[in-house]
Amino acid sequence: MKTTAAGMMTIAALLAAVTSALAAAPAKNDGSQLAIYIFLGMCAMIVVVQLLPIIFLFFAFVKALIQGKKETAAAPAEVVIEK
Amino acid sequence: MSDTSRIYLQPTPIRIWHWLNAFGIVTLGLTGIQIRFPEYINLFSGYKTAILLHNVAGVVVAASFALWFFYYSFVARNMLKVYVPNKDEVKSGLLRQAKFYLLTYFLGRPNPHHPTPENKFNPMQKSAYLAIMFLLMPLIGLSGILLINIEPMRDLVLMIGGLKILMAIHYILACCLCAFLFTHVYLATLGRTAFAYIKPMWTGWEEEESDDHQHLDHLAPRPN
Repeated sequence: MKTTAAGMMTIAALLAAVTSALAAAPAKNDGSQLAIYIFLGMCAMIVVVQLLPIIFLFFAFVKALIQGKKETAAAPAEVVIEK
Repeated sequence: MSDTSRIYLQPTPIRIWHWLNAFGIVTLGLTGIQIRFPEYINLFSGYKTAILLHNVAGVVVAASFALWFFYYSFVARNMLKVYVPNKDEVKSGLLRQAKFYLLTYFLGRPNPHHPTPENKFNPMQKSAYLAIMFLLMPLIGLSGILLINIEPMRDLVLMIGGLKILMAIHYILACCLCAFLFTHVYLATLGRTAFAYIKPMWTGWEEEESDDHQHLDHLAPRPN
């Protein structure tokens, strides 16, 4: 628990400290903005591509749920008695 | 008879962390070379671009490190089991794995380590990743944060020994990480095929040959 708390503190300190670094960074239109956008775009692409299977699975689940509801509503309940 | 089974080894958060980390560290390395040797290397449009990109990549790597830490600490809750080698692994596992990488791999013998979600790293990987993730990455991150916040963290910088010492520490740590990176990529190609270990890191699923004969291969006489 102590290790976890210490780790969380370290990460919080890391992330808190970088915000001032971003504020201090030069922001001129010398091509640096484009490089940043390309880099962040690639990062976003990695995240999205890795999340695609989960997104597809979610939509398949929702689709199956809706279809199941429709079928239940459309078909009247049948009682089959086997003798 | 050879029979392949699939095991889900790398969950989505770990895959996202790994590839963000990989892309971020390569960017940090390339921009870092330009920042360190601007008179020889000009990979990006300018020195300022390299600095800005280095800072942004540093933030991304720090964020992905936080994701990794959060996942193993609070979701999987098996960080120590995955990353800390046990007594047996230190006593004999390290030697066995080193022997595989240095000798038996080239003789076509199977890898002595068979990964499971709870024990996905071999003893050598565990030792290396333990040092990288718990020592090298936090230290390089902290030294980087100090370097981009010299003014607000002036006292801390002076306490460490000044800007030159801090830059030297950051540079040496980066060289260590770079050395690990080359080793990491080389060892990642030592599966049954060159991409056998790389593919699971992208898809999450690893194909494992559950062939009993393969594991007993070393006992069988080999043709000369």
